[in-house]
Amino acid sequence: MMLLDARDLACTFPLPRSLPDRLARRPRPGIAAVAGVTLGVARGETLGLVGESGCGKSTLARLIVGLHRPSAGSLAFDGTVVAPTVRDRPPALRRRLQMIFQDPYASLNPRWRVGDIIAEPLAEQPDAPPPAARREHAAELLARVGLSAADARRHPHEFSGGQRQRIAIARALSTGPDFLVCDEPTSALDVSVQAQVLNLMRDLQEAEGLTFLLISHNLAVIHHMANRIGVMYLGRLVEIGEKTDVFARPRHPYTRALLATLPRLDGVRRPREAVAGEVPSALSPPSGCHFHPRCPFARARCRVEAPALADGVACHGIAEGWIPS
Amino acid sequence: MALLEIRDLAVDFVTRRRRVRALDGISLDIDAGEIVGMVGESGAGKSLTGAAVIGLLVPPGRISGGEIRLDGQAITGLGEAAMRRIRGRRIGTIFQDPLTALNPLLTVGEQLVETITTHLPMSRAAARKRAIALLEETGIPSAGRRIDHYPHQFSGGMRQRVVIALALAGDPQVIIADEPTTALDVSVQAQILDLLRRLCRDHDAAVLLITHDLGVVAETADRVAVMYAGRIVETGPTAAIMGRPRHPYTAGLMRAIPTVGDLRPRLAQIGGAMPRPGALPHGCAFGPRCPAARPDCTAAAPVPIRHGDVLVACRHPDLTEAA
Ligand SMILES: Nc1ncnc2c1ncn2[C@@H]1O[C@H](COP(=O)(O)OP(=O)(O)OP(=O)(O)O)[C@@H](O)[C@H]1O
Ligand SMILES: Nc1ncnc2c1ncn2[C@@H]1O[C@H](COP(=O)(O)OP(=O)(O)OP(=O)(O)O)[C@@H](O)[C@H]1O
Ligand code: SF4
Ligand SMILES: [Mg+2]
Ligand SMILES: [Mg+2]
Repeated sequence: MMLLDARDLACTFPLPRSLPDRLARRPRPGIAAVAGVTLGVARGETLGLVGESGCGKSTLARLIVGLHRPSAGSLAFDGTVVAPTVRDRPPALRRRLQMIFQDPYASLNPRWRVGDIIAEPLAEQPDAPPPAARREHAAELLARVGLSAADARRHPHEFSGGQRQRIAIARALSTGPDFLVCDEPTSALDVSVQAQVLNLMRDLQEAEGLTFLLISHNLAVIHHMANRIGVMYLGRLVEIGEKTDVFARPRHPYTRALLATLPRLDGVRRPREAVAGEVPSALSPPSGCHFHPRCPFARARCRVEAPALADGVACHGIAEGWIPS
Repeated sequence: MALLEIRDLAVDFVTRRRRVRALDGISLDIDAGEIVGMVGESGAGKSLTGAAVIGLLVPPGRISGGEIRLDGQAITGLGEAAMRRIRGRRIGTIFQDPLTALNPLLTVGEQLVETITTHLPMSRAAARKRAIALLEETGIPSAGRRIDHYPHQFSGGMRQRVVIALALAGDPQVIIADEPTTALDVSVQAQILDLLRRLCRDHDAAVLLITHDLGVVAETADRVAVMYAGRIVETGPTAAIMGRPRHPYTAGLMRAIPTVGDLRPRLAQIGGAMPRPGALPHGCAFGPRCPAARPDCTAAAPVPIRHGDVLVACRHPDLTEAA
């Protein structure tokens, strides 16, 4: 059984209507940031989530931890359907399901001391340990992420970007969660600290059986950490599968293009092949398969009908066999 | 003479109780049309260096030594009013923190138009056109409609691109880009790096590219400066340094990078942590973590020594294995 099960999860953000739109009584426009995503995460695994900027990764992450209200779909955790927003979820569930945010600046309260920031999720639990024990726990967590116990008395502005991200990680770990949504946890970190954080995540997974949903635009990080990989494109999941399979034999045309952008590290400068074509706008997504305007294999059907996810890929060409595997 | 010259820059944090040196002896030249990459561990002082150059050090930080020259003119002692005229117009900055660089209460367009009309003689209508063009250049789809949205309606990577558009709005000579592509996926990253390269070439801009991503440096920078604990430990042409890192810290960074195809369960990490400003060990600051350290490394901080095109602040650069 999956630890986390998302069914047809969707989130549309309403946009303000212009005056002409209102006069014409056109419906309120919206951005379909996440448009019907179904996926499961098994206990103890790392599911890596990749996709272009703006494709809805952070929105999906926030739906899972209950920071946005889904416009459709449902979410089950450990076999039980959970309330859509974090406010309506019981503390025991909040303790188990934590998130590390993409932006280490926005997620730390500047007026609080680091020690209090780290202990906060723990303090809101009904069976919270007394303050002295929480302080001790915070000091331990700081050491675990490579900072020192003395840092607990400082404020966030006294830390560099990467150091703040480590504080955010310590905070997410404070309640001893078993499912951690990590939205770009190391993209603000240099490689040596990144190596420490990724190794730490692995150690935690081994020692405590943690489950991760890991969002990263760094394919090497995903390759290093994930057991399975999900690929998103403009609000939809277009491919999901075992890491080794996806990297060795990407099937969806978008996944193929994405993997071709991998940077190399030999000090030789070469222009990198970006995925060809215009990045589509989430405000007016293309019809049918969202990828069709950039897809070298697209046929007439692709322009009118959105392909459903079948056998791990959402692509007409794969389903009908006109794309060579 | 380089367009931007940094000479022996020192920055201290001065509080009532003590004075702590955060940057020490930073010297770096950037020519017009050149991209210099600055890399190093989190907390090494990269953002502080950028902040010092644009006169935006936040107290208790202050410049306590050295000089910064822009096009031959010392800008280190200039007052706030003069610095404000330089910022945005002559030096454009892409801040590491996209949220604080944007005002949440104004639309992206209002902020861009404001910045453009402050620095360039343009009507608001022309400025709005330029703003849309800048957003398009940074790869924002539907820029013409997006321009009227508020920052919170953008994804993390899109906000970062708005910040880049803001930095370019005044058509500056020098661009300080602090982690400009950190939040971006590879294809947008490639687009932004292309844009920086193009600006550098077409406008003869000097670019200081601060990043912890050696991959970004590898494909973008002409030269690299590697920072550790408030000092530059190695500088030289990118290919020379990446091809054969001489400082053990640089070599350690190169080894810590995960690559696709590498199946090690754990990444090579440099043991220990970088010391905080004010708590530096004796001698070489990297000594306690250095696999090549010898007893003489604790004597005094090593001075940079020239090896061909490369300057290395290490007593035993030949002990570093070619990576
Ligand atoms: N106001 C402050 N008071 C005390 N220390 C500070 C203050 N601001 C920064 N520091 C310290 O100065 C050092 C350099 O910080 P800086 O922001 O330049 O790092 P960085 O190299 O940009 O790191 P990152 O890659 O994480 O952004 C850090 O150790 C940081 O903790
Ligand atoms: N609060 C909001 N209001 C309106 N639109 C939003 C909001 N949050 C996100 N969006 C839009 O939803 C889409 C998906 O955003 P999201 O932050 O999930 O992308 P992402 O995949 O995390 O991108 P990145 O890699 O840049 O962080 C974007 O088009 C964004 O502009
Ligand atoms: S469904 Fe059609 S357009 Fe979409 S990826 Fe497959 S072949 Fe390309
Ligand atoms: Mg995001
Ligand atoms: Mg920084």
